[in-house]
Amino acid sequence: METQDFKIELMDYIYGEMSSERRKEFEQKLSEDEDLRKEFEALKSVRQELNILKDKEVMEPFSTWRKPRSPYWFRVRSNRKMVVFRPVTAVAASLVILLILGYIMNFSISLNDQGLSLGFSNQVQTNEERLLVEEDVKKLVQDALLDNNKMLLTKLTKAENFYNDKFIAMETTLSNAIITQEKSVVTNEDLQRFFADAENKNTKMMRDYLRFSTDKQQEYFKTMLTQFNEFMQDQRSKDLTIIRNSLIELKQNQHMQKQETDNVLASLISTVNQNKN
Amino acid sequence: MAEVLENIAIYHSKSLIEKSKKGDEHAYGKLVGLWYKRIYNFSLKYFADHDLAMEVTQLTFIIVYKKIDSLQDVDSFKYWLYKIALNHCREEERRQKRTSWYSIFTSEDAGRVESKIGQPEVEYQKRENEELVAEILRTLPEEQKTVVIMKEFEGMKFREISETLRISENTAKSRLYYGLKALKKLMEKSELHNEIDS
Repeated sequence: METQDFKIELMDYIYGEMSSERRKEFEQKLSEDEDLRKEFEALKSVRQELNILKDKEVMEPFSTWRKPRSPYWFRVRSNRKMVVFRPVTAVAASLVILLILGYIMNFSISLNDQGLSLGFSNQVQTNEERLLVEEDVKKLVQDALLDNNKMLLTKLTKAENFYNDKFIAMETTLSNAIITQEKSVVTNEDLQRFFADAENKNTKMMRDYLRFSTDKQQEYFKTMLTQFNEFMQDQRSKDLTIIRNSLIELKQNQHMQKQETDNVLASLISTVNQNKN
Repeated sequence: MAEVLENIAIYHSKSLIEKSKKGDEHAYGKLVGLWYKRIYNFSLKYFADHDLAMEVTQLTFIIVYKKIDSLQDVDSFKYWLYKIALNHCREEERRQKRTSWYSIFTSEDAGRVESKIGQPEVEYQKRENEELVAEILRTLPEEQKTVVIMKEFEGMKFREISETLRISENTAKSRLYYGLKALKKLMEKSELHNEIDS
């Protein structure tokens, strides 16, 4: 029964993809053939059970569908061509932009004795500067020397004036001192009196100092002796206490030893007596 | 009903496909809206797993978006779309087998757990049977499963199935026949059959 045609016919019939003529023929077969009918019923029941599975509702996730669009002259149908064409055009475009910017901003590249230099300014200025230094260097040195000489001359003039003033002032002071020396007269008596006063003052001061120092030393010595005495007394009393305690302890030990000896003797005597008996 | 909706979708699709081919993103968005549910349900029947179905559906529409300008015949969009979806299903299945992936607690499971709380017994039983049938369908051999899903759930004609899978119509019918027979055997072994019989 299960030929290829049978399976195909059965599927066509079940799924309604059969012409009306073929349908009638097949239904005739179905009514006559019990096995075929059973097969049909079985597959029909499977379909019924499959109908349990219903479509599930699903939320389409939010997304924006947007392709990066390129200008029309970049759209090449062959992907391989596009891959090559895009980077080349990108590099070319970048170079053009750089050249335009360089032109606008006076971009310059130069190689000279000082090395390679890149810049956005006019290069001529640097050449002018270099020529100026070479031509006018002597003049500049001369100017610098003249300025220096002028400055030194000014300083020397100032110094000369300063020392002249100083010299005049010293001269005046000396002349004044000579005049005053001539006017002042000190006698030997005055000098002896002055020295005698000074000696007396010194003697008195030394005496006062010695007296004060002796008093202080005596006072300190007394205090120290008193403190030493107190210390010795205290130490003596402590030593006596220790000796006393030691003696008491010794006495107690002797007493205990005596008692122990007595006990031993008593036990020996009792033992001897017991042996005798 | 599914067939009617499908026809409407196809009718609307043509103009949208044309626009999408020209790079109209808005039209492509609408096209996705029309076909998203169909591809999702196709993938869901294939895997019996919501997450995998979602993944395959999204991948399918990304690929379609990238390649739609290379589609020559607008009328063959449907076969082309199912073919891409099926390829992704197969690829995903191979990947799953390689990585021995097991879904311990998928969103479907979560839904099932939720349904147990406070739902009537009938509803619970219905859901259980549904999951059982989905699982039986999933275990069918791949060739038979694809034809069964396309015919039973996607309502495709044998001609359309043969176009999509690039096989003869008779081969499609034969695969469907064996698929249904295998399903019957599997159902007989399962609880489902016993419950239905009792």
